Amino acid sequence: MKKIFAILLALVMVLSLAACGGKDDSNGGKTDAPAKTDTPASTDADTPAPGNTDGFKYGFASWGTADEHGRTLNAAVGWAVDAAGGEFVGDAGGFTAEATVASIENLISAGCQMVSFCTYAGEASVPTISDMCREKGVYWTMWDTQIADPEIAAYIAEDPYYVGCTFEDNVTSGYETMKAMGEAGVTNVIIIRYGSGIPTCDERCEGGIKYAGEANITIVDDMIIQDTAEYKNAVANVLLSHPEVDGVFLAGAGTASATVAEAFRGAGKDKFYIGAFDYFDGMGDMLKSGELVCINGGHMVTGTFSALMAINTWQGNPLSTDKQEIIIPYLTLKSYEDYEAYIQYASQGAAYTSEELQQFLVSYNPDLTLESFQEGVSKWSVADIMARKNG
Amino acid sequence: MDNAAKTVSEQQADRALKRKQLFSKSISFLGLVVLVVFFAVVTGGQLLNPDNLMLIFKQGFTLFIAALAAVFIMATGNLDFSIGANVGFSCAICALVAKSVSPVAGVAAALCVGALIGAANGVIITKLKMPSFITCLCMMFILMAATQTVCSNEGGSISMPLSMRRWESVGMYVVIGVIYFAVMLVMFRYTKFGKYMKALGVSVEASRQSGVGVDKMIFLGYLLSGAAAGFAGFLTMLRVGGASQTTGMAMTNDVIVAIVFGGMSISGGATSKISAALLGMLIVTTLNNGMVLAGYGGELQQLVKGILFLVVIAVSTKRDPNTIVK
Repeated sequence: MKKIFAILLALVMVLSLAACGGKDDSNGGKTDAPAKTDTPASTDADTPAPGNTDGFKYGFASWGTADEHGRTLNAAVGWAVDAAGGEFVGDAGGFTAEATVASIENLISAGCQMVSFCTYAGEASVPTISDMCREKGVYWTMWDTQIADPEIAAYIAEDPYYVGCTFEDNVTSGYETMKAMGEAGVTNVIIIRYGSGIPTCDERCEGGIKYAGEANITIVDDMIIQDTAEYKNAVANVLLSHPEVDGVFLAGAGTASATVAEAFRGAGKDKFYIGAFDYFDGMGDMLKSGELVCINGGHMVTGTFSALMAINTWQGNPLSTDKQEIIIPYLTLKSYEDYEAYIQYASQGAAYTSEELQQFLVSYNPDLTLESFQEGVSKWSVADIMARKNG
Repeated sequence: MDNAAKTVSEQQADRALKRKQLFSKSISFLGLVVLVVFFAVVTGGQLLNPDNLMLIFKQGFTLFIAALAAVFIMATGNLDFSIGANVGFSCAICALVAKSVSPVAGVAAALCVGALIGAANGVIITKLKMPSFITCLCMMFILMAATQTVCSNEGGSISMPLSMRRWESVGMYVVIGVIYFAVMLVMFRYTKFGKYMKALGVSVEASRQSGVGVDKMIFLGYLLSGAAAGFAGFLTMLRVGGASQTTGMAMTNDVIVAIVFGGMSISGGATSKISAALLGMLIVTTLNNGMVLAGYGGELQQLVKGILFLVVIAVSTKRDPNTIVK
């Protein structure tokens, strides 16, 4: 009986697939690259035409919500979508490119009119996602991403459903982080990268190395470690041969700061400084003790502003006829006071009120332009949050 | 009188045992039916939309390819922990060769690399007498490092040639899927190779005493698993559009989960079945897809998967692997 059911089920699936395959062929073959059109006029009945102000579903793909960054990122995007009158659909598929592609497929299948993702697993999947969105008439953005491969950039530039991307100025942030460490007294530093060939990571290090060169800070070691659990041992090993090391620059995985500090203490050093990227639970205590001199994060708003860009376009109010690239500053915390302000006003992903977010939508703010959008985004800082909340 | 009463109670016990065995054997299939019905209702029929069914099939296809071959290894009571890393490395080599030489050469390279890795596992396990668990784990680390090196030399990820985008089609998936399943089914059920793999899962020593070439069978099993992983690497590249440092990372886990969800005991043996890969693939992919369609994203997905996995393991490990292999 079970086998019969299994065979029947398999047959139903194969027949459905065959039927779909036949439909594709009659359309000229969906497996070919979609025809390039200049106007994003969708013929799909499920996809509202531009100009629609009805409710919508916004799909957001990320790696998870268990960590501080993932949690605030999803919350911040959900908040923005809610402010715009839409429904947030999140999928925490995982860290691989396969998972991101599957997430986007599932989100489109769930009826999302817009989707957004990040290329933390590499850029190779971007043309595939572009094809999927064009085929289904779904607008898409990338958050925390700037495409480096010129061939991929040219490919998606032709996609009428690609709205744009948001990203940070990582070189400057890396520079400023090393500067904060230098000003705290660091003279010998270890750089730890969380991966190789990752533009975000490399750019942060590029900025850090630039300042180190200018300020005569010696880079004792520049290592690549993917497993954050290994950071402590790596630093401890370097300290054995280079006891003069007094600082660690973490290009990512800020959560490893605590174990790096343990390595210093284990080596009998009580004066050391860490500069890091990516917020983590416990960073407040480390900022208070002075062990952590600079932590860059708050890039949950990259997802927020990508969403607002997509919603503007979907509503028929694109901020530009070209692809939009918005640079977003990090929310850099350099003191316990900064941390307290972040916790009080922004840690739940609600750094902006609904009314403030609506000012980034043409449907609420008809005077909005790409320039004023970028200007508003560029204000993102602890001082900006404090001013808005207190004023 | 006593004898008659005993017979009746024995018969009742037999029936109860049979019902239990039937339930145990059918739990995966029942699980799939429950899943489909549940998500079909919750999503208002969206799950059974032909487009969505096609999506489920496409999303699970690579897993299906790798899992079918992995059944041979699992039937012996072993696990191949290097599958995911093999998929990742084969994918990277495929993309690299396709880009620098030709797409066809890329496919051939993926299959060769995958098979070579499988053969290396087999040789190390049988000739150097290394435990399979350790061997595959070490191979996984080596391949992960190799994939990262290859990808980082190319700027983090390797895109396949844009011309290869036309290769992927539903027809291709259906044809490959049907032929591949038929070949694996015949090999597993009707050839000495398949029967010996199950026999090894029951008892290696008994198989050896019966004249089974244990080393040869184990070598062939890993060779098959490796070649399938290489093929899965090529398919992953086609589906994703290239390779990156994390490609294949979740595959080993998914393969094991799928086979166990499909109703096969993790200890292998005579009750091993090739259909576990198909059933498991459908369960895992339907679960992932249905959760998103129903709006249950994030950690709830992992929680549900974990609980289901525990339940299925609890049920499937009660089975007796010592059934006679016919």
